[in-house]
Formats: sequence, structure tokens, C-alpha cells
Amino acid sequence: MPLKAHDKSDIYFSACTPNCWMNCRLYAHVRDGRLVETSPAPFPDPTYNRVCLRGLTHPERVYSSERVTTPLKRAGKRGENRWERISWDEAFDIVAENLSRIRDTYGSAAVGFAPLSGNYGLINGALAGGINRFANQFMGTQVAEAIDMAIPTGISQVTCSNLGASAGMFMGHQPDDMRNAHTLIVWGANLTESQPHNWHFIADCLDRGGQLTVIDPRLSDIARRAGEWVRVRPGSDPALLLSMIQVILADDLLDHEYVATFTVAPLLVREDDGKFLRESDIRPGGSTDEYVVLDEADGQLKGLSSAAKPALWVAESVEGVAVKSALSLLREEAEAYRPEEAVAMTLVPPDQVRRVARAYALGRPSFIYSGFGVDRWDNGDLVGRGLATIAVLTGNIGKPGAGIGVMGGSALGMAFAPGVLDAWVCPTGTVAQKLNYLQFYDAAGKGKILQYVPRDPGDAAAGGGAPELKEVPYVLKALVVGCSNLLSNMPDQNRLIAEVFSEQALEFIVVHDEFLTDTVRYADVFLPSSSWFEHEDVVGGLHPFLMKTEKAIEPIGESKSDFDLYKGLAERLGMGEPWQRPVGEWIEEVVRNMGRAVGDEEGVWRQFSEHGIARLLPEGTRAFADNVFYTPTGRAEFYSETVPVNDPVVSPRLRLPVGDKVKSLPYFAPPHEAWPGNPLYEKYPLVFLTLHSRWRVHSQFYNVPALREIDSEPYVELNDREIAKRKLKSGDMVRVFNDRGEMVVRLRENNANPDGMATFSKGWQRHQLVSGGYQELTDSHINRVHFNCSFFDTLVEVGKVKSDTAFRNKREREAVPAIVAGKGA
Amino acid sequence: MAKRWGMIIDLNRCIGCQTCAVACKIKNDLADDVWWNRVITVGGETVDAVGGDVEHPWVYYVPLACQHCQDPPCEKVCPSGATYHRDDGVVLIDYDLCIGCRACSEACPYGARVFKRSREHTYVAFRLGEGDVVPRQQGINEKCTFCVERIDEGLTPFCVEVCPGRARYFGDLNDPQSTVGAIMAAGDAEQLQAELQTEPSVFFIQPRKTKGRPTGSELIREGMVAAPLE
Repeated sequence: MPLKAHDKSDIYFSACTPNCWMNCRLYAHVRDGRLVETSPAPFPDPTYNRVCLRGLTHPERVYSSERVTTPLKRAGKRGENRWERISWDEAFDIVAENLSRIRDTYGSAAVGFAPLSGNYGLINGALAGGINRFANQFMGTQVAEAIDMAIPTGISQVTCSNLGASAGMFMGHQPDDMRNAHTLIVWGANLTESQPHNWHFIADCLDRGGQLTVIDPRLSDIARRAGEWVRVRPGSDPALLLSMIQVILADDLLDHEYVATFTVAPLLVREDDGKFLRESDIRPGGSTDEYVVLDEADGQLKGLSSAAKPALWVAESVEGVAVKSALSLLREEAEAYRPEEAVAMTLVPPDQVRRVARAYALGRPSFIYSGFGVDRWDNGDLVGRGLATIAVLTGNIGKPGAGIGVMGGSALGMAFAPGVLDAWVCPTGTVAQKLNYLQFYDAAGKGKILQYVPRDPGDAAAGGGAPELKEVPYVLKALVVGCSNLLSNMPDQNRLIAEVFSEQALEFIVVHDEFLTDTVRYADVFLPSSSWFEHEDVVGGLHPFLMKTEKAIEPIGESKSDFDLYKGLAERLGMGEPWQRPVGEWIEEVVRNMGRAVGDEEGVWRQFSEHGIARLLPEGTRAFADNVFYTPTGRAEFYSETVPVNDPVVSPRLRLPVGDKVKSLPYFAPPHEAWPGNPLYEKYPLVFLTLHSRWRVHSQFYNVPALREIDSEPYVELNDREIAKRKLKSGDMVRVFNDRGEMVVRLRENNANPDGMATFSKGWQRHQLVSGGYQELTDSHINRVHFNCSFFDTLVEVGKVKSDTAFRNKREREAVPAIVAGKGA
Repeated sequence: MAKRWGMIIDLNRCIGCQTCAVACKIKNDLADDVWWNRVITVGGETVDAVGGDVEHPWVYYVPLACQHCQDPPCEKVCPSGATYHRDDGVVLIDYDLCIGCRACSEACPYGARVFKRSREHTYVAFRLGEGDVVPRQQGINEKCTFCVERIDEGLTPFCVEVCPGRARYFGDLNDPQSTVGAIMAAGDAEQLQAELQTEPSVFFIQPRKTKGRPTGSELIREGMVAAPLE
């Protein structure tokens, strides 16, 4: 039922649900059955009232002339954009026939389901929506988790590794807590562009006298607001963190009580095997669970629980046992990164490192907003590890205004929590096999992947040395893509097209979407999805509220909601039974499940059904407020015996023992590609960052007319010195290239960029470029700790467009499907 | 004292996100390429590009729309009497009287007036927004109305409601109890090109000064922003 605000239009509850993760509550204004406006709807706590430029343009998306609203069947080669218009009946028949055939031939796991992040609606989205539910029921393969995982893997290492390698993502504070900070560090995030909704909390912090430090190689918009802008060399962030750790330890800026009580600082580490010293090591019959420290009160080694004053600094043998305290070991590791030494790597002046470290340690409460700029690197997990380490060393965690990250206490985080939505998303009790997105390239392309195989198949967490990295067969023959434009958002586009989207690799591809995206072009069958305003749903966001979204308008053309789409498909496959209850009942089920997870099922459901919005978690919810860390020692582990791995197949249980590739302490490893030591640097001297801008959310909103009037064409940016060096001019058409691929775009001068950096605002589709695509340039190598895409760890060169450059995208220029057969051909 | 509607924009809070510009465009059902509210990048040559050199880059943003001057030069030059201002300070155009001569575009020191060249927007086939905004015919001049339909209903202009940075304040400048009145009393807000004595009702809290960086007013004087739109 519409809410009548006044008599001009009908107003419905709605929300904007893409992967900026802000998920703003909206009103959908409907006149004569048409969506004419979206406006910000109030939150119960008005501090969360917000919208952004993208969230206001929905009418232009919903009624876009580029919207594809009928099912299509491929009528040319994959990628050729030649289609036949078909009925839903025929489409369901083709999809059902192919999925059954492939299941019967290769097994159900040979059918892959690849949601990304195009919608966070819990019924129709990519997190626990129709595609996930169908995949679980089908027992297919669900492709998952290869973006935003590096930083969380590193943070988890220190604070919550027992919950899984990526748990650190949602173990943070609510964003309004940034107001309470005195020192605020924004590390590798241009949030005024990518998450502008969080900016006003920072603006409030600054108005109250807070101090902002931004660590970014570019003068991003947020950087220019900083009192201290640290222009770090791209990819050197773990070294800068070690440099800060060195200052914190050498100048004794520690929070002594915190470090002694809640971290592994006083725990003694055996020099022979790097393990923590246990009571059983020093006393026959001693406990294997009791860690040993040196008690300063009497100079004796004893169990942690019985020590009066555990010593923090122990750097020599005690009672004949060769040990050092974890804190002393950290100091030794960090010693090589004295600011005067590290400047050669980080380019950050030593004075500035000292200033920033001192301000962070002493200007408490201090808060870190760690962004996903630093996540897009092969060494991204080491940044997360360093960030969590400086937080626990200075006690800046779990307190008002002191923490890491603003994704905690959120409705979205609750929806991610394992098991919460099982009643809805696992209707038959079966689950899909998870496969990392980067592993998926190998599975589809080569039929085999490199996989950690635990020594004890029954218990991945069991000891007994390193799990073996073995080549195992993995057959994937069909792909179902929904809420995802993976060809535009995953790295190494040419490899994806050639190896994964080839007919030799994937026999059948079905994609549902609203537009002719890069990915849709490679579908065998296209199914039209309804927009967020054409079906009902429930959604959370990076705020504590669960929101109702109503069906404000009828589906455009023949579009279907994901629920109806997968229901139809399930019925064709004789699997329709779990899909017969009406959507409204499932929404109630989801809301009640979320309510139960926070211990207030009835209250949450009542708020939701009466007001269309329910608060899940109270204001001030902060991870680690109780100083309980979810690690093997129960303490914050800047030193660890094992390292958790973010592979969805084995996480959270698999841990790697310390060895060549993984270390006990925070450390620096150079980026995989974009680092001066790499010989490729001679040929490709520019680090290439594909930035999140305010103009799109990943690739969504790529074709919204109002946005394209301001941001009208793609461009690569260099500073004036790099432009002059190449004898180019701002405004020239240029070729951006490396060994993997190229793109031809306009060049624009922007002195925000340091020397040696090219930037591109991501999300443009191939047909919007003269030639090539930005994801042709990025690399798909796998880091086998965090299994995250290292988009920014990429080198390119920019040069003149050669006269013989084939303008390859000419064939792809159409923005809408070319119908060559069927109705309307 | 008579009511005087006014707006204050805190340029320290403005992040140039263009939410206000897009909100205005949809709410007022603006035609292709027509923007009543533009966010000017003060710095480099293009949207979001910085100024200065690589060692000392700088940038900020100035949202620019009709300044609702109390002595509006556009009104003085209007040959048809279409432009007028109300007692509460809102400058409006009677679209039935406008002959599209664009003398006001020449007279406006802020480049706020836009000629409606195209008939409608081509993206959707119906009017966007609540439908309460007065439609404009092709070939006339138009501009920001302070969302007159909304403020007459007791709401704020839409750009104020949507601003993610909470950078905009709206109210009665003559009321010392209002937020805008309090900011005015604190003396932090300035008009753009105050020396022209057109008495704008839009005020700006200038960005915290960085050495060598010109202010919005200085740049407008130098013709670096607010170039006529045509």
C-alpha cells in the first residue's frame, strides 16, 4: 500500500541497494503508475538520513531506452551482440534443459552460480537472494569472495582469526562513532567519492576539533581536507605501517596496560620453533593451554594467569630457555623500518611518519577508516595486519571514537553472519560448493585448480604441518550469472573472455540483468530482471537498520524479480516445492531470523511491519568493546603461530603454519607487479589504479543520462609531468596498454596524481570505450593467503594512438541488443 | 522584520558530489543539458581535476545557482517584466512573459541563468519530479527558484534536504533564532562578489585557507568559473 504523503503522487518505501554498501532508505514517488522521483526517506535516527547523486537518478535507470525487457537467445557468436527475442517459456525450457544436461553429465557442481554485488536485497539480491537459494538447492558451485578480502584477512589475523579470515570486515564500529574520534586516519579510501554518506560524520569530527590524516598517493578529495596528507608510494603501505610501529615502540608510545592485558605482547616465543612457550614446556605435567610469561615481580617464568606483572620486553634467554617476548620480536622486526630507512620505500618524510605515529598513539581516541584502495594489492592483507597492530598497540580499539573500520554493528554485517538466513537461503538443507572467483578462472578454463588439501580431511584445522597445495580436478561447464557484471568487474578481461567465456570452457551461460552489460554480451540466454522498484524485498546496509522495500511499480516489459525467475526455473526442473510460499512470507521469515540473531525477534518484526524499518543493533555497538579477541590465544595477536587463509572452501578452519610465504609478525612484502624492483617497470612505468568514483557503483549507473551529462566520457589521468614526458597533450586520445591488453581513451591532466601513476574511473562498459577495456589491463594472479583480486597491483604505459590501432570495439558499439530473429527483428 | 529567505553553503563540508545538482535536475524536470545548479570545480580545468602543480595540488568546489539577489541585475535588464522578486527575497521568472532574449544571462554575474534550448529531456517520456513544479516552454530562460513550491509548503529546497555533507543551510536570514541567522551573526559567511552590491541571498563559508589558493569570489572575478553556459 502506498503511503500518501500528499496528493501529488503515491509514495512507497524503497531503498537503493547497490554495492557502495550504503543502502540508503528512499521514498519511491509514483504518478500514473510510473516512478517519477526517488527522495531520501527518514531513518529512525536522522543522522543516517542520506541519499547521493546516484540514488536520485533511478527514474532514468528504470525507464532507460537501453533497458532490455524481454528474454533473448544468442543468434550469433558469443560477444557478437546478435539476438533472437524469445518467450519466457522458451527461455526457461532452454535453461532447464542445459542445466539438467550438464548436471547429469558432469555432476551438479559443474553448474556455477556467479552473483557479485549488484543488489543487496535479501530476497532478490546477491548476498542471500534467489540465485544463492537456487544454487544451494541445486547443489551447484557458488563463485564467491575475491574482492574486499585482503584487508579483512589481515585485520582478522590480529583480532578475530577464529571467526574466519574475512571476519575483520564486519568487526568494526558504526560509522557515527567517527564523530567521537580525536585523531582520524583515512587510509587508502576516497570516501567522499565512494561512500559520500559517511563524510558528514567526519565533517562533524573536524568541526569538534578532530584531526584528519589521509594516507593516499593521490590528492583524493578526502586527502585535500586533511591536516596531514601522507603521500605514500603506491603499494608500500605495509612498510609505512612498520615504520609507524617502529616509532610507537622506540618512543614508547604504547598503551602499556592495554598491551599487557589484552595482547600477546608479554607472551614468550620459543626461538627454536617460533611457538608460544607453554607451561608444559617448562614444567613436566604443565598445561599445554597455559602461556608462559616472565613475571617482573619476581623474575620467574610462570603461567600467564598466575603472573603478577608480566614483562613486556624480554629479549634474552630466561632460565636457560631461549625465548623472547612477542613485543620484543615485533620491535626487532620493525627496527629495519626506522622512518629514515623506510623513506626509500615509502617516500614519506621521516618527520611526517613520526608526527602521524605520535598523533595516532597519543591523540586518542584514534580511529582508522581503512578503505579498499589498499585492499586491491597483493600485499593488501599485510596492510590490514599492520593497521590492526597499531590499533592494539595503542589501545585504539573497541572504545568510543577508537577503532578500525565502520562496517560494524550493521544490518548488512548481520546478514553476512553464517547461518542467520539459512531458513530462507538453504530451503532443502543442501548447500552449494563455494569456489573463489580467481580459482573459478582455472576451474572453467583448465578443469583443475590448485587447492589446499588439509592433511586430515576430517578436520582442516588439525595440526601436523602445512596443508598441501595440490592440483585437483574441478569441472565447471555452465554458468548462471545474476546481480553481477563480472566481465567488467573481475580482472584480466582478455583471459576471462578467451579462457572462461569460450564455448570450449563453458558450454552454457545464462545471465539475468537489466542492461546489455559486458557480461550479458557473452550469454547464450539473457533473462530480463526487474529493477529494485518493481518487486518487494528487505535489505540492510552499512547502518544498523533493516528496511522494507515495496513494489512501487509494475515490472517493466517482461522483467521478472529474481524470486520469480528462480521459482520458474525451479519448477521446470521439478524443484519448485520450496518456492511456493508467497514472497511476503519469506520477507517475514528473513526479518524474524535477523531479529532472532539479535535476540529480539518480535520487536524487530513489529518495528519492521509497522514502520517499514527496524533497528537491529543499538547505537554504540562496537566490536571488541569487551576486549575479547577471537584468536587462538584469546588475545590480540600481532604475533601468531599460524595464519588464516581466505579460501572459501577451507576457511575459516584452515591455517597455514609460518613459513616462507607467511610470517608470524607483520611484515612487508613488495607488491606482485607494481614495484620498482620488477623488470616490467622499465616497459610499463605507471601504476594503474581503477578508482571508485561518484559517477558509478562499480559498473552500475554506467548509462544514466543525468550522470553522463556531467561525466560524459572515459578518460585516463596523468599529471602534467608524465604527460609532457610522453609528448602528449591533455585531451589527446591515447592508448593505455601492457602485456595483457589495452584500452583507448581520452587523456586528461590531473595533478592530483603523483609521478608514475595513471588513474581511471572504473565502470565504463567496453562499448563506451573506443577500444579495449580497463579490465584487460588488470591481473588475475592468486595470492594464496587472501585470495583477493589485486586490481591496483598493475603496471601500464600510456602512449599515442598508433594510426594502425584497430578500433576493436567498433563491433561492440551498440548499447542495446541487436535483434536479428524472433519478434521485433 | 520581513522574512528574507536565504541559503548558506559551507564549502568545508561540500565534497563536490553533485548530489544537489542531480536532485535539482530531477525534481525540477530539467531538459537535456539544462542544469539550474552546477557544482564548479575550483582548481583544474575539468570536473574534479585539481589545480596547482604536482608538488602543491589543491582543489575545492563551489555549488553555483541563482543567488537570489536583493537588487537583481537580471530583473533590471528584463525587457518584458518577466523577472521579479518577491517580498521574501525569492527571485522568480514569469515564464508566460519571458521572451527568451537572454539579456538576463548577460547581466547575471553568476552565470546562473540557463536558456531552455531543447524542448524536454529525451531520456523518459514523461515529467520527472512530483509534478508540482511549473512547466517551462522551450525558448525561455530559467533558473533556480529556491524550490519555491516546497518552501511555500514549509519544506526546505530539495538541494538542502539531500546534501550528503550537511553543507547547506536554509532559512530566514532576518531571523536571528534560525540556523542561518546564527551563522550570519557569527560573521563566517560571505557573498560571492559582494562588491557588485547585488546583495545575494546565498552565502558561503569559505574553505579553510590554504596559502596561495584564491577564493571563490576571486576566481569568479577572473572569469575562471561561472562562464556563461551558452
